[in-house]
Amino acid sequence: MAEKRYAMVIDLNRCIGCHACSVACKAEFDVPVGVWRSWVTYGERGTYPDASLSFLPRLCNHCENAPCIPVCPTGATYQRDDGVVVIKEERCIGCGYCVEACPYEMRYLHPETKVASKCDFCVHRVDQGLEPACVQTCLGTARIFGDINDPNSEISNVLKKEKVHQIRPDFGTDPRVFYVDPDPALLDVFKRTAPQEEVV
Amino acid sequence: MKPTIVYEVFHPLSWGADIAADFFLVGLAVGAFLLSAGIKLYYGPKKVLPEEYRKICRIGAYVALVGLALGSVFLISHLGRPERFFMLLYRFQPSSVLSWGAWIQLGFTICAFWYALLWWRDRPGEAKHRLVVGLIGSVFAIGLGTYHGVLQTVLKASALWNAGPTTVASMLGFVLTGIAAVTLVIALRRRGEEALKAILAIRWVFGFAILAQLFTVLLWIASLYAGPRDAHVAAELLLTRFPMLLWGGAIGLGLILPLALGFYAIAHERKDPRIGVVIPAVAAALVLVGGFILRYVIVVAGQLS
Amino acid sequence: MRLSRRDFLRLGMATAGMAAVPVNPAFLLAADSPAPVTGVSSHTGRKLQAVPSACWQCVCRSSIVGFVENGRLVKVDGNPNSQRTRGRICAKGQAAPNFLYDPDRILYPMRRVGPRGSGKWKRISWDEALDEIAGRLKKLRDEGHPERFMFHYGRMKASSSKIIKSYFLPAYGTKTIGNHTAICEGGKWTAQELTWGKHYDVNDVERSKYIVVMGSNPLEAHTSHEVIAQRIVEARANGAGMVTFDVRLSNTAAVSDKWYPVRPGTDGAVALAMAHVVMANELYDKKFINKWTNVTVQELKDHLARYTPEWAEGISGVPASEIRAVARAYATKKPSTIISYRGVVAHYNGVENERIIQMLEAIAGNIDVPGGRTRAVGPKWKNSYKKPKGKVKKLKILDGKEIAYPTHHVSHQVFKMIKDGSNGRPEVYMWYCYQPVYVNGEVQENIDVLKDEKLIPFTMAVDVAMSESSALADIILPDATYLERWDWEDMVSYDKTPEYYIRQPLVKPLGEARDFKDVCVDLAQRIGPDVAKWLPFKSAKEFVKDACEHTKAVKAAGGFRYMVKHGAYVDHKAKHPYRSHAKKLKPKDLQGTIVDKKTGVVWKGKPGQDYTTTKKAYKKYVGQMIDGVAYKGFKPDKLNKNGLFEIKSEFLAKKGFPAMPSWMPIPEHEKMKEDELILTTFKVNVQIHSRSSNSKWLTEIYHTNPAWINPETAARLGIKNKDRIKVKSHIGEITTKAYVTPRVHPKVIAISMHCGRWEYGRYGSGKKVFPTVKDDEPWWTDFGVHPNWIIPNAPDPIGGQQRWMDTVVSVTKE
Repeated sequence: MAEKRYAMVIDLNRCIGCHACSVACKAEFDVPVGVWRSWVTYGERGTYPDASLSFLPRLCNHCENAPCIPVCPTGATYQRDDGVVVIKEERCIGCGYCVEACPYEMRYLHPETKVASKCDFCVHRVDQGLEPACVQTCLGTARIFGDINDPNSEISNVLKKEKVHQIRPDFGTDPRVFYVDPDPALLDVFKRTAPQEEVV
Repeated sequence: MKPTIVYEVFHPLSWGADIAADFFLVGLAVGAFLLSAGIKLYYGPKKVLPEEYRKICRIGAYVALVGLALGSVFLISHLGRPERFFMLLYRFQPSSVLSWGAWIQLGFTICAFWYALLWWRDRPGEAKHRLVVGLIGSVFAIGLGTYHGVLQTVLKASALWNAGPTTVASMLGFVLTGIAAVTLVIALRRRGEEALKAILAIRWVFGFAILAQLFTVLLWIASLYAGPRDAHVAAELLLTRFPMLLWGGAIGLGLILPLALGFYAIAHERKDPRIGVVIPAVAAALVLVGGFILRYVIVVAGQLS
Repeated sequence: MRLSRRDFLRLGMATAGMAAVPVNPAFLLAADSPAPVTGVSSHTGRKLQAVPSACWQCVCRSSIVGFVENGRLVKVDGNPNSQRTRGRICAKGQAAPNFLYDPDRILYPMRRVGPRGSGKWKRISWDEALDEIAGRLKKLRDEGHPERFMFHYGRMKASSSKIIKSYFLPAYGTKTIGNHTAICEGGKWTAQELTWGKHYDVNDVERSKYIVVMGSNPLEAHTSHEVIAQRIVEARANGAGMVTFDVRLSNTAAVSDKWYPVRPGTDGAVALAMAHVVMANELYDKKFINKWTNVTVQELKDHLARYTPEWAEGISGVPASEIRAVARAYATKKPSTIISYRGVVAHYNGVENERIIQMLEAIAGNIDVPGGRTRAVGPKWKNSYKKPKGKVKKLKILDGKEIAYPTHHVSHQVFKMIKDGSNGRPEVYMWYCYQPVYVNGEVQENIDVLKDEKLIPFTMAVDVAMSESSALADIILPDATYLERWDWEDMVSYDKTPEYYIRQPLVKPLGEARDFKDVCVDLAQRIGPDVAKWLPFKSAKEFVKDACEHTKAVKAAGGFRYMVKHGAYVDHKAKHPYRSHAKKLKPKDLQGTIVDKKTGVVWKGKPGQDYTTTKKAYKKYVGQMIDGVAYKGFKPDKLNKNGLFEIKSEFLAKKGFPAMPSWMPIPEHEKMKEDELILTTFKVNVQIHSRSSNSKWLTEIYHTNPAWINPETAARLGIKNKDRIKVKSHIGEITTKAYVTPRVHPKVIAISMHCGRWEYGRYGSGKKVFPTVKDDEPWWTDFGVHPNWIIPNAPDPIGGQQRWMDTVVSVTKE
């Protein structure tokens, strides 16, 4: 059997935008305020009364062709054999180059450890046979995590059945986070346009 | 119809004024070194350098060393874990531009130090020595200048950086600020005739560099604007969110005004030789301010686009 | 058991034995094979100690597992042994560590040293605090006025309620016990008591084919939020339709097939028109109407004839064709149900609106059927201790004035009653897990009354945070958070199966914080032996242990030890049937009963007693005679109602209200001017109403509450997005920020009720209570504006529910 290849599918038909994933992630890693490994973007559109609101849970895409890896000057960021992109914290010098290299805004310099940080698919849990924290608590069971190299896994079944989308595949990154039925306009993200500014 | 984003998170920018200062100072060092070594190379090992050029070469060597040192301070202090700085060298990653850059910068630092030492000792018979070190140093300087442009250009994540002219504009900017820094130092350190002669010796290069930089920057913005969607959005962001810094600071204050001052100086220096020193000095100072602003705008806007 | 696609996949995966990540479908397991729970430290990679317990962030009170590392709580997850929550908890539940380790948390008893409310405090010992309190309480009791000790709680449930409300307070002798139901959903319960008796409805959504949401936002906030939210998602995944009537496009409306904006307070008109369509098109459940209600089909048709969809369109603004379509879908895509909440009941006509919806559910045949509006099933804990006997006295300040049936009290009128003084005033006012200043309307009056030592001589707060209310206390007792205390818990099931679960400390209480239940035991002893004798248990832990050993089902499962280990026990053997009202009574049920001639109620009255007029006769209800057969019927509560589903209410007719559910216009809305708006408040998914703003991870997401205003309205008023605006009601004015959005009705200005705090620590208000205690600095500087300053405390005339959504305001650009 081939090596494991972890990935996640997020079914937007089941997402209720509840932020349980975001806060579970904060708790799992005791993430300080002001930085995020995972969050849910809200977009509203339309005119009254045909208005709508859509959600897009965000996390590291664990790209097959991750732009953050080659740029790291010390090899602190690397891809595990199972595809998960992780950071060896003790090797990171905190230059921030990987933060700049990620087109998805997923990385940040941790305010306390001063090294790069981001979602790591909760490998500490996954390696012990658990699901990532966001998957574990997702109220809508919208998140499916698993091994796409295992043809019998739930995620493989979903990938076979559903049409899935990636965020900005045109970057050539080949994300390993797939979305079912997302709001296409929310997927079409540009980099941040309003730093530290209240949107609403 | 595009949705209005009503909830989104924004990470703090990881590169700010400190990185802009690092780029600016190291760039300036590269420029000053290239000026110095370039003159030396032009005259070759045999010919005797005229006194004014000797001054330029010497000051260029010092400016390069000081700029590099200051820049390195900004760079290392920017690191989240500055004590791990040496990992940059012993954990060489061939895929990382930054990793190459660290080695290039080390090479350049050695050359710049050696080169400055040679000029400081000023021993007769070391002309050839200076030439060789200047030549090797120039290779590193060009590498380092290019590296500082490429560092940003290679990142697809930023449409603003991810454009060819970024590297060219950066490199030109480095040369320009190097010349400006040397000019300023000469004006500040030398008196009257001596300074005037030295400044006159490089003012055409200086003026040409300003023009070239102005042209490249405009070309860079235009090419972004006319570029693919992401680049276009980046250009719009640059123009709408940083109009004052870009037009007023980097271009107006840093390029057009110095150019105008230069013409003024040419027209009026015969009446009063002091004009030939003071005006270029002011122009050089403005070029340096503008150069830093441009660096800052590119660093910040690039992270937003 | 019905399996969803996902369950099937998971089972398939598990049986194939090739699971990449073992998923524990705990809710598929039998109750006696509890699922193991594990957590891993992200920092050390070591397994974490797992302690099952129960959440308390909101009333949903899910069974949870806390993960502890070196005595510190690092994470909370859902308990996989909970059938209710299926091992999943919401954002608020996930923020538990914030609540526990709030840097501004009060950890020591404190006494004010300046004037009341001056913000000057002195740390005192527990002995000093309790001696003073016991002294004051003893004095009142000895003087024969225990009722002058008023105890007012916000959230107090299960064993907390039992120990404090059923043992401590009656043993002491006061019944001046306030609650908060009237500012929540009291009107809903009153309407249910008037129709089907004992309150609490559970929308059996997971089995529904069509879900109508009216004035409710279950995907963001609900009494069973993470329970119902998961089941709605499953129903939707299985193809159920869902439409939402709301003044605002909430997350619930967002994931519905259609959002119908309604004019505030007119959901009743829409529901009446839906009932009209159901009757006019012969889509009703004839059998149910004839057998179980007290009206005939003809009576209903006659009554509803005038409530046409066209009429409702004129009132509510929802197009008649849409009302018809929804009514048809609702009546034909069976089973179906209506989820209704505060948007429906927090109005002048709130009780009537809910009564209309109850009628609609009844005529559509949705009452207590799979996928319909079912009766709640909760666990029945038993303790071995005798209930206190003896006289209890009460100040008549709990029910406001001239409310027809204040069956859940009228808590928002308490301060007005105290100010008024004609029914007496408490000398000692103590509040517990309650924010009286912040959560009621007319904030300024609340402050004025609570601050006035002439009106209330002694005030006491049991709180975890320096809240706006605690700031006005004479003594603050530091309460243990829910993560540091014992309880048995009993929230309702959504699967008709009682779920027994407990709360146990995940960590030792920080500082000198103490569980107030334990403090009650202590206080009882200090007041005197005749109080203490009714609290024979030494602690809440002992009380919980006693319940585990004396509750049959739990005892059989393994008692206290089992509960401590697994946290929850689902009693599958006690699964309740649907349509429990149709259960025929057995002869043994009928022993010692009489049949009331007038009502047909079978009850344990004395021969000759009249059911309707005998005080609290409903407590002796056994069943209902229908056509000569005794059925279980609809058990009444609070009122001596019969066991039928009452559509026509004599109780209301007696008080001058229409007997048949009817349209009741809202007086203020009838006479409001063209350019005035109606202020609506709402909750969001990451804040509890008043107790979570100290949680940094939640408040980081939601810390300010700009006023939602429709683009058309905004344009008319010259308001642009982010403009500063003034919102003015007849009692006051606030200045806030505009959020111009197509997601709100043009006649509405909507402001959430979580923000604008002026206390509650650095994350809630920016104000540090203990500046030397370090934690993350909040990066946000906008803390929003509280709408309650300008909302009057106005009761619904039938039930006394606070009319949150009725306030007429004018809005101008600042």
